[in-house]
Amino acid sequence: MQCQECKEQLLELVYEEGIRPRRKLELLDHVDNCPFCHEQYTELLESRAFLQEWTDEEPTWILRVRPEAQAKRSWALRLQRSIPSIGWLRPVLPGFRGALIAALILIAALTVTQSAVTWNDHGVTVQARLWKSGATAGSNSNLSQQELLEAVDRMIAASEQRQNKQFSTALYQVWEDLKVKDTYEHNELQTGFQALQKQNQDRWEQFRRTTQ
Amino acid sequence: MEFSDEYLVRKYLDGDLSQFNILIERWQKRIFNFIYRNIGDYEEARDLTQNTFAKAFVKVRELDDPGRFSSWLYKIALNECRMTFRRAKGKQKIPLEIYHSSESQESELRRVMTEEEDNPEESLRRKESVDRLRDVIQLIPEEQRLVIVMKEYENLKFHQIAEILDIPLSTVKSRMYLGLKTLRRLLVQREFTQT
Repeated sequence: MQCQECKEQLLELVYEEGIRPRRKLELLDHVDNCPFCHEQYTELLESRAFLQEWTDEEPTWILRVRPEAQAKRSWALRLQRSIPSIGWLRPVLPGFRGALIAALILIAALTVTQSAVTWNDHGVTVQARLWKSGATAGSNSNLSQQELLEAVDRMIAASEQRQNKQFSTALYQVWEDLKVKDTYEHNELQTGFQALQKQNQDRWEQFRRTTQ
Repeated sequence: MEFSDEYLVRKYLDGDLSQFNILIERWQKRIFNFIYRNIGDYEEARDLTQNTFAKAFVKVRELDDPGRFSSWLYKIALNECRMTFRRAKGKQKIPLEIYHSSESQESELRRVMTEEEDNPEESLRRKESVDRLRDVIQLIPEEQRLVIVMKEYENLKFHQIAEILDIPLSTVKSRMYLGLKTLRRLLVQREFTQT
């Protein structure tokens, strides 16, 4: 017998657990003849003997269930017995819990990013906008009718301040159009608004260059 | 005639709550000693034993198989010990020799003295020996200590320990082996330093 083989079963030998009588004799024979394994075996036995010095402490107190707790528990048990067991749900509960957590995280993320989820024949579209920053994420950004009107309004004010009458008149026209066209598609409005912003910027640059 | 744990648990669940007192009476000494040997503080072990049974009293309906009441009870006690270990880790390290308050030492001494009034010298020797062992056991790494206490004092089979700790059988055996080796090393060290 090899020492490694003996070492693997030394605990079984010490505790005499899970070991066949014949195997036990083989191991004991090896332990008797191998100084290294003999030392290991002896050390384990000595540790055990030392541990045995600590005998059980006898508690000087007694635990009892309080009568009022018994009465309360009695009601709780009766109530629990009246509710059908959910034992059959146990195997699927971990999966269900995971799905619930994932759904809550998704809802929280959509709420924080003020996202709009739409779906049609082509699939699902998620439109996300960062909180109050005005910046938009993704290609399909989204502004409400009211927000667009306010933005155009601000542009008119700025244009009038710069005394750019021609552009102000064009903006008034856009503002009127926006007011009337309640059913305007969001994307269409957004595209128009972005074009308008660019046009405004270009004109302002041009105006600045001519006045310099 | 002594009824089985399973029978008592079923009676309890059927509404005969007095059966739980029989379960407490049957298990409180073992659970207390299991906790005491793991955490090494008599007063705290008593409190944790109380917590263990209080939790068992309320949660026993969650027990799938009443036949496994003892394993389940050990698991609750184990959790109580682990929570104490975690709390202890958060605290500043205190030298082990002053870990036990003088009050608890006195009360313990009083207890031993009343038990063996006829032979106070023997009682004192035994107390010192147990104190030394308790201190050494507390120095064994937590996971190894748990296995040693379950095997050596609770006389559980290796497979039962594996079930309670929810670890493979081979891990139980390796922790046991390492734990006994650590104990041996500590004993040699302490004896060397004390002489």
